[in-house]
Amino acid sequence: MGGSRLAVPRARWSAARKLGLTLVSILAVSALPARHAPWGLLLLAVLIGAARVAGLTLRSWLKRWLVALPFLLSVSLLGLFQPHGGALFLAVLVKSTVSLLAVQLLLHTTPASDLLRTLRRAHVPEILCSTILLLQRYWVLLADEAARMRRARAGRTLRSGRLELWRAQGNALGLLFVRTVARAERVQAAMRARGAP
Amino acid sequence: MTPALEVRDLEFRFASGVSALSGVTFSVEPGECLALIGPNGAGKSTLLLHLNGILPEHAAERASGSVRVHGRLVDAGTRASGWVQKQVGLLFQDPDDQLFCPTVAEDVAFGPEQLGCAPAEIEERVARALARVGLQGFETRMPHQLSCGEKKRVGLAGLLAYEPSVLVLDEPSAGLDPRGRRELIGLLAELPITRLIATHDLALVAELCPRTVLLDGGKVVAARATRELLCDDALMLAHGMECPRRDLPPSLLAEPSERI
Amino acid sequence: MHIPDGFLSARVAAGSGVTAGLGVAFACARVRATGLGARRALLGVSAAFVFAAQLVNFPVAAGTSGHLIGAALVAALLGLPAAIVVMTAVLVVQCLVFGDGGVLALGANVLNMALVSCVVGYSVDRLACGKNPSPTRRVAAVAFAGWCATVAAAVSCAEELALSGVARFGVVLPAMVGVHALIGIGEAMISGLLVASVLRLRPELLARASANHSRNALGSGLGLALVAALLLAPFSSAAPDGLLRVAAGLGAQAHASSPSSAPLPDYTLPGLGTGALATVLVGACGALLIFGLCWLFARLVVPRRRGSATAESTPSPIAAE
Repeated sequence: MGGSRLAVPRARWSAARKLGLTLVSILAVSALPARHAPWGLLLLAVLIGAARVAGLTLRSWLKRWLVALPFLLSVSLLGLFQPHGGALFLAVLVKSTVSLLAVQLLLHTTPASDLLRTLRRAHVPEILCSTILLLQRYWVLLADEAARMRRARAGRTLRSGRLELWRAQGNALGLLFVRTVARAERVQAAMRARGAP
Repeated sequence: MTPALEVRDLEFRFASGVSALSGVTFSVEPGECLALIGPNGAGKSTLLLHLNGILPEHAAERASGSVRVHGRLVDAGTRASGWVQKQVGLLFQDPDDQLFCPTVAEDVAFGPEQLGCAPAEIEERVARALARVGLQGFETRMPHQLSCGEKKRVGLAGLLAYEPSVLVLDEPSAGLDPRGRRELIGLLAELPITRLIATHDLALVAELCPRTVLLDGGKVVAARATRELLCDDALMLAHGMECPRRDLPPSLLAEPSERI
Repeated sequence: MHIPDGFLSARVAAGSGVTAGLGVAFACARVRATGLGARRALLGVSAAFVFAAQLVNFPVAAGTSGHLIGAALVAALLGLPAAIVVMTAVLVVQCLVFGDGGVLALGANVLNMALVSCVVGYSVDRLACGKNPSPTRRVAAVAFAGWCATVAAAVSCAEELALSGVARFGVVLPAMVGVHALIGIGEAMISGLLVASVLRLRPELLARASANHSRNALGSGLGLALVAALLLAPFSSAAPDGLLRVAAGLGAQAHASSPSSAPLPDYTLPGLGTGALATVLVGACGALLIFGLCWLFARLVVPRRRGSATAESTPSPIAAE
């Protein structure tokens, strides 16, 4: 997740402004018709420059690009079946790469909490915002409970073998869920005991 | 005679950089009942997790020194093959860290199943183990519905069911009511196997363990005969322990408990 | 199935964004009306669980991999409106915190993986369950619902890609649906396993959800009708096209119109009129087969009634498969 680098000029902009700028960039490049798509490379160059200023290393966003590549390739390759398929294929590749870098830049220079706060101010329903918060809170609990169960099993696994591991997983998943829900309910009760709604 | 457990110069650092153990050395003879005492944060639990092969868990954690069980080194190979876990049964301090099956019967049966016992034998072992801890009839109960003391006893039954040669217990009497505690002490006194008990319960230590190791700040401060150690007021107070001579009944400290 | 930016045309992104926004707003209003109350813990943990489940990628065929969605499962546990909210929350976090899925494409992704999948998953689950289902039926229902939800989301995704002119419908639809019909099997298994465990360990969690079902009935019925229209539209327009093409004569050249003028790119599959019907029939048979498999799976997973407690654990379906 990104952390804000206050020393860098761009990073000092508000989250809303950065989000807006990102949206505009993506919109601009997406709206380019297929044959004008190479102009998107210009925007790509601008973004790469901005990335260097913001401290987003080439390696980290290339890594992200590689992860997204299978989907990018598989769908854009389908475009080759169209007339002018070659241009379409390149256009999609350029647009998606530019958009990906824009978003990576946003995430690198804006902490998640700022983005979510911006959402709240943009009148995103309160229920949705609360659910996002609950997701973040209980993610930690879920991970912790999974680690506990894994460790407990490790302490009594008396023989090696992948089959044993797989046998156990089926039961463990449901139990993990139920245990985490029970723990979460205790957390909620503790919060209510201290005045939360 | 090869010690059942031998720890030599064990050092351990968590991934966060915090050092938990710095040069721990001690050994436990076969059939012996050894106590491990020390203040909170001394590293007792961390040490115990090494004996059963659970730690080190992540690549970022650093451990040096050696742990040997029946003379065999505990390394990646013995951990992966399950040999260490078969020899050393560990009872966690928090029973929620111990139990991971939907019902009591399944949890207790986990060990025997791993050993490859026949279904009939598994059933018999489970019944026997639960009877030993006083939980007969609890087979279909679900661990998350039980009380803390009951959960602890299920955990112990789970270990007894597969009969390890060494039993390592982390605060076994914490959370037990007086009757449960009495039964636990009786049970531990009868077991012929090697036992290592980490505990704050000094009365239990005085009753069960002829020898005690005192751990503080990740180091072994003293390893002596129990009565001698517990009667050393200055040492006990210096390491955050209570004063047994002042707080325990004199009868407990006077009689040597030689029963193994 | 998270569509990145750069694939969808502005029209499709806007259209799906508006639809998704309306759907989510409606769901939020419904949840607010009934109140979160005691369900906060279940809501949060479900969201975390779905998030974790979506991290799991498994290879399907020839270099493609897919991931679980979790919509049907959440709908079974929380009811339809809350399920939509949970899935949307997960997608928003994935997009804005991890950059998974495009920002402008968020509307489309929400439409596919939060709205379409939840509505289909919920409705199929309700239909297959009936009143007071046996544990086996309950598990089979949610497993089948999970499969249907995955396939429905794939159809919706394919439509968006085709409408954007990125790929031809006749190519992208079979590709997406084919891959996700396989992924859906994994989804069915996980959903079934989880519901079986919850039924065994805390059945009241599921009972609580079904208490709200009557109130949701009208809304879900409407939602299902809308989703069905959404999904089946391309087929309905294809049939007359195909028929016309055949009717125009075998000698006529079928000529491709440019992607931007036609609402849907042309098919090259000949005789699509009868082809569409055949596709539907094959699809229906396939679905019945999948339901049968789900039932078998449920039989494996749900513990049989035992007289005396034994140490045997429930037979693990994974080892049995």
